[in-house]
Amino acid sequence: MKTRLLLSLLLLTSLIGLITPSAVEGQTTSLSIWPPILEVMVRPGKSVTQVYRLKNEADDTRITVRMVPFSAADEFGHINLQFGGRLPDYFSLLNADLPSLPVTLNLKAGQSQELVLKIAIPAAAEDADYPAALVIESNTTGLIGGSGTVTQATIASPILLTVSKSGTPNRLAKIEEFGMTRSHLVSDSFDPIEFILRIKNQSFTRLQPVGQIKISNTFGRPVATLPLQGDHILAGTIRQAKLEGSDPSNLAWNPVFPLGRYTAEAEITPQDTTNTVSENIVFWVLPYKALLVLGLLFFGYRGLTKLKFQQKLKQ
Amino acid sequence: MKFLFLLITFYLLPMTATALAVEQMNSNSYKIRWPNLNMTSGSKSSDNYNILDTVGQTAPGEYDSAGFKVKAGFPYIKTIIPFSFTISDLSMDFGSLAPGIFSTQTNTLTVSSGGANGYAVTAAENNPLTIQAGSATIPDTTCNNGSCSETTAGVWDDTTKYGFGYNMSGNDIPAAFTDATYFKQFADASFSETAQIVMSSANVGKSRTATVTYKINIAATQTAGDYENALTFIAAPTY
Repeated sequence: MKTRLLLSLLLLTSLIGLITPSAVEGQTTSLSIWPPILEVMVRPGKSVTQVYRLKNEADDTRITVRMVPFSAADEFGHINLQFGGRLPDYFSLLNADLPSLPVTLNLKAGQSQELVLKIAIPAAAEDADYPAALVIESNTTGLIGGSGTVTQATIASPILLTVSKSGTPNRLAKIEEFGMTRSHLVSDSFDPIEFILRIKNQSFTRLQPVGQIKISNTFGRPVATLPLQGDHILAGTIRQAKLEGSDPSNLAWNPVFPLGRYTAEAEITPQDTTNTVSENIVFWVLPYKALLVLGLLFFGYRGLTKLKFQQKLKQ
Repeated sequence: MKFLFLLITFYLLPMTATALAVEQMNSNSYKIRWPNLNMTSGSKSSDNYNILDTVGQTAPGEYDSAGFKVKAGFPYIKTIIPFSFTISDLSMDFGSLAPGIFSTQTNTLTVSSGGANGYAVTAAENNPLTIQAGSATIPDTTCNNGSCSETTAGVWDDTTKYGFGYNMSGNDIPAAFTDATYFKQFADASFSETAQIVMSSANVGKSRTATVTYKINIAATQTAGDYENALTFIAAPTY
């Protein structure tokens, strides 16, 4: 009887094992790449190489390595990969054991692969930017037994490539918008003063703006300087400025108790140039919320006192 | 006593030097953010080229050499951290779907990024869930009141509303996912919809993890069969 029960249990376990989807279903993808991002300025007729280190930190996988152009996805530095977009033939791999890009190879669990990327610029190349990314696509997808969805991982390492004959391309910035995040120009003394600063790159190559917002009080005395982070702005695009080390939307001044009329001056200079641009705004800071509450309290008190007085008179 | 004083001085001196080294250097025409003293490999140079990627620099990051002008990669603060991306489970198997009953599956996305400007992960589907042998589809959800899309999240807890959608929870997720009832559609590549950000941060981060909850609900009239599609998650540092 016991043997029969054991055999039945064994059979049942085997059946469950067969029905349960294979181990592939729980497959994980984990890829890492170094360097994560690269800036290159190179003269026509010259070439540069960079070693990328790629590591598979999960299950065995098959990857495809390719170069893909990208554009600015938004005003915060996110990239929009343009699969199917065309890049000039400047990029190649120097690995003796790998064919030309795009290349597909197997990566075992825990395996690392060095990719030696060569960027060779023809002598006749024009001054321009070529924002591109080294893209690693994992071709491993899961398997499903019924209805469902399979997922795939891709990682990209952006390359900010500038071709320049002189090494000092003329860079021009424009302040596209400078103002307060709130539409009205009166801020409350107890709220942070939030600015919006959108900078446009009007040149043919990427630039990094160096600058700050200087704030002066009613008497023209400087009271604060907000240093701006020198984030890259791709050619012809706009980027929202932020304070150094802050979140994307954070361009705020947090004074103790500001009061009165203030002037804010945004001053931007593209790095390695003297092409400074600036713009001023005037704003008022008043404790209007507190004044409103005080006013309400005052009139409420006056009203109550009057009411009580009238009631007394009636009595 | 003198010896002790000297010892303390020598001990504190390097700390002072480090503090100075991480200060911001700037002038009217240049600024170096987060100067660092990391000495690692990765910087390549010869007579013919010179390229830097934020390593081994102790001087301002721009110079001329052999007819080349090269930018040092100081905008990045922890480039010794590789950029890594993990998907915990590649198969979201819902098995057999029952009409009017929500089926859910989850997996996690993990990102480590040392770039000063953070990262973003985008997601898109190749097409809506489509029957294996045929053209019938489970449409992408439009949530309870028909308002959600690939860009807008909406509450989806009504079992009479059918479709396929996802919710995010955890680190660095879009603010639109207020709670576990908010869902969105995946951007549909077959309709040229732009892949949408599912995780992003403007800061350095290690092992930032978010959970994706995939949800399907079908009508009783749904054609019987197994429905499938493929999702691509793309992780990239921000420039």
